[in-house]
Amino acid sequence: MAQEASSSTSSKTISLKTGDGEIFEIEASAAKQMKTVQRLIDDLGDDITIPLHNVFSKELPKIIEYYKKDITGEITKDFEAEFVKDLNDDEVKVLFLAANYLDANKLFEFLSQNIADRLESKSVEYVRKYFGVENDFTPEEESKLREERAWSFRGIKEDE
Amino acid sequence: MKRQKKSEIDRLSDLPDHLLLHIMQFMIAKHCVQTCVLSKRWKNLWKCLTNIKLFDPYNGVIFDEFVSQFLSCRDNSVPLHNISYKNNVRRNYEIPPKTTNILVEIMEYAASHNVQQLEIKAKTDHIRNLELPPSIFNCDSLTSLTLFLRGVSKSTTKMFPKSLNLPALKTLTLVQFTFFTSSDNGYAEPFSTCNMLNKLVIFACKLQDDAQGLCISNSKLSNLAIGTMNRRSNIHKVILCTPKLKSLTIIGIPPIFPAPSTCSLTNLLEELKFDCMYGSTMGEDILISWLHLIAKVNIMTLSYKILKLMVNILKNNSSMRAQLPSFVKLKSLKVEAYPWKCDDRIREMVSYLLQNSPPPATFDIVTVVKCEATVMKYALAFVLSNGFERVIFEDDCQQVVNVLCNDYLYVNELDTLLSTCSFLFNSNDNYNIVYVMRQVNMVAQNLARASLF
Repeated sequence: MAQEASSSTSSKTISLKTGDGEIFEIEASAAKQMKTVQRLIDDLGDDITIPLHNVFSKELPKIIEYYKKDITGEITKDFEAEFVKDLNDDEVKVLFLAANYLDANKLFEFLSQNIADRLESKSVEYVRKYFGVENDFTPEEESKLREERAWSFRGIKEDE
Repeated sequence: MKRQKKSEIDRLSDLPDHLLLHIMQFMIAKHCVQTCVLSKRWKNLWKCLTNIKLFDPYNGVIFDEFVSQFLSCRDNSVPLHNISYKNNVRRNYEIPPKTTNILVEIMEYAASHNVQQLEIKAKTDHIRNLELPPSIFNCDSLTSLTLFLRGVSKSTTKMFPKSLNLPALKTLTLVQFTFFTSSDNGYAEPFSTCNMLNKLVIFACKLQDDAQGLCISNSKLSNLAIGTMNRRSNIHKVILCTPKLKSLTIIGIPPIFPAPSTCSLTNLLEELKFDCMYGSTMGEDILISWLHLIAKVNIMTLSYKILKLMVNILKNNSSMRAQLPSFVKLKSLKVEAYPWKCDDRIREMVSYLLQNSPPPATFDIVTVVKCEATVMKYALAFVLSNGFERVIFEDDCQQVVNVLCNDYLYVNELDTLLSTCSFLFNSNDNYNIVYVMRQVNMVAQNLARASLF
């Protein structure tokens, strides 16, 4: 499902092809905000469909939505809150990775903050799963470390 | 337990250290350290943070010990960009006297690690004889400094150093300081050596008894906000040598000093804001001088309170009315008002003020629909001016509740709205705020509805 190209005759649109084969159109000014895309445009020209192997059709529309708002200069805290309101933690993670891949700085910063906010109240085990971290401590090593750093574990509610 | 797709697990765990650190940078320091137990790779990752948020909403003493440990365990070879410390202790507590004070420790650590931005917001009543280390006022790398060392007693202030050596400083926010008088001209001139200074906020500050006034002379200053909470402030005269000043904001009570005399102020000044939401008097001579300054700007924002005050003074004083200037340059006028205040009444007052002037191109009345914090501001003003001692605020705007609970001083682009709220809210330990869901906030809804009739 391709998005409508902008009706303005003077702004160019760029075609992006996701890793799962779908094509999306974005305005050239939005593409500028995604440095990876811009670099590809600079190398390949703006008439070619830019392939994005690591971005998929589930997340690209959301990213396009963000930068569409950004072009009109209207990204407010309210917009950002609305933007992530219905996303679960995994969906935000996927967007974060996509923003990193696309080198889309503004969105990347905002999502970093959002992930940090979401993880603040979560348990260690949850955070491990979230980042795909394998716990390579032995139970003794881990408890020794916790003791050493007891000054940072004091006063929190442990749920594991 | 759901199994994640293998590809997703690989993708995130493949992230290089600097990206993981990037996310951590948005977390408060305590959680960053806790990541050390995730795995061996994470054990010392937190030590490489360049942006540090030292903030704990609950524990005073424990938190200070954490901060001390954090700073001593941190990797010293990693550059430091940004330290922010907020101590939200709402109740005074007794602590055993320490040999070093945590605020001093943070400032010295910051100065010795070439920090770029330092922000300290703390209650300091419990600290005996707080002496700020000179190193933080002689720091080549510092570009932004916020010092909000709050004493519950409104008249306690700290002495601001006589001389500053902060050549890179662009933004400075000071709350509750007293400035030394310069021996040359009898004025306090604390910032003249900061050649790069661009934004300055001075709130609830005082001068020494012998000072004639406050002099601000900075060639690059474009934004200035100045104000006080009560008429006990002794800043009765302000001189500005700020040729690039674009925006001037008065915060707190209506100004107790006449519009600043200037060397070249009037050339570029575009915007004047009166963020005054309480205080019921203003000297007539002082008002006249500010009216003449208003006549020189393009954009003005007034709080309802000060609009009403100005109009009342003019109505009661015919010779002042005769001197009322014509505000020909005024292109945009905004009034911040209670949502339930009658718009027509506001327009009437604005017409009165502009009786000698052409109507401005844009005129806005900003209400709670656009500005939820304004309501809190007026609520606080109401509570303060009526002397209520114990108050529970119920608010259905999560952002406002967060700001007040977490005791932020919001000085984002001189938006002093939330900062005034925060300052007022925290001036009384017996004010509490509770978040209620909009659907549950029937009291407010019913009152609002009732007020329409």
